[in-house]
Amino acid sequence: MGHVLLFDPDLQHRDKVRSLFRAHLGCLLTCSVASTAPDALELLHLHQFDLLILSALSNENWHVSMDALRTSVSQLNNPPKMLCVLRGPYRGPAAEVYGARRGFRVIYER
Amino acid sequence: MKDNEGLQPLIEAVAFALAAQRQLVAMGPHFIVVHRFHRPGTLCVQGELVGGISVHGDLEECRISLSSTALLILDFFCRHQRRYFSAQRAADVMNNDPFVIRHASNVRGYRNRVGTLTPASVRVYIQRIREQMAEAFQRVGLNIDPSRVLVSEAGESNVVEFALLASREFIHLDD
Repeated sequence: MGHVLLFDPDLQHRDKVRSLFRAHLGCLLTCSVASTAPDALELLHLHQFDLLILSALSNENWHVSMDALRTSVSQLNNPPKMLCVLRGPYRGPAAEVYGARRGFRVIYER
Repeated sequence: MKDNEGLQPLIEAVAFALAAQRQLVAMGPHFIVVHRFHRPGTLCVQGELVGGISVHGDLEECRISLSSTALLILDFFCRHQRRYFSAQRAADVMNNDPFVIRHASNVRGYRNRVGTLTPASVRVYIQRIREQMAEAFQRVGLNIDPSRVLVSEAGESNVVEFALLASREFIHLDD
């Protein structure tokens, strides 16, 4: 069982993901609405997470949030893996390449 | 259930990432050491050439760009994985290690340019190895500080000891 921290501003989507994770993965999921707020980043220092997921719309400025997370994660003793889940019409390779060059995976939600 | 079909890639990616993270925490990153000019029936013996060392990420591997001496030092720590050596001890052991002394002697015409190592040079090379490791880790998506992989710990009388806390495998090539 892993401990996952999900950053998702969309409450409906968040609940959907939470129930899905519980059913399929049995992992412990902690949710936070904002990805760059100091409170959310402080969570990273208080608990040991195995995976961070940022859920965002592909036309949003998700790069900024992801970079803020990466900066926080780099200060941790046992940094978790990072994943970015994008929603929206755009599904080109640019975001995947952006993530690959910075050490995290980007996937598109259908 | 149809509503959740779009989230199937996410479930798969999360399951994969959690498994990879568990392995990383338990074993450390995975290094692949290539020994070239190996003689059949032997493994990691004198005469072989350290052809390269790469780190394996989740999906790809990346070569750590190092000079031949730095490669030999990292190879030494890979062969003595999870064992602590002070810079003095590492230099002493390497200067008397047949693998290092007769490095690449199986290669016709190859001149071994690895001179006598001193504790100070070992420390400098370890620093350089960490710098190159950091670049390789970043390229394969590992958010790890290299000083937590090639660790240094202060032992008795403030002597700093080094060790490689990682998993490794050796690949032997005949040429």
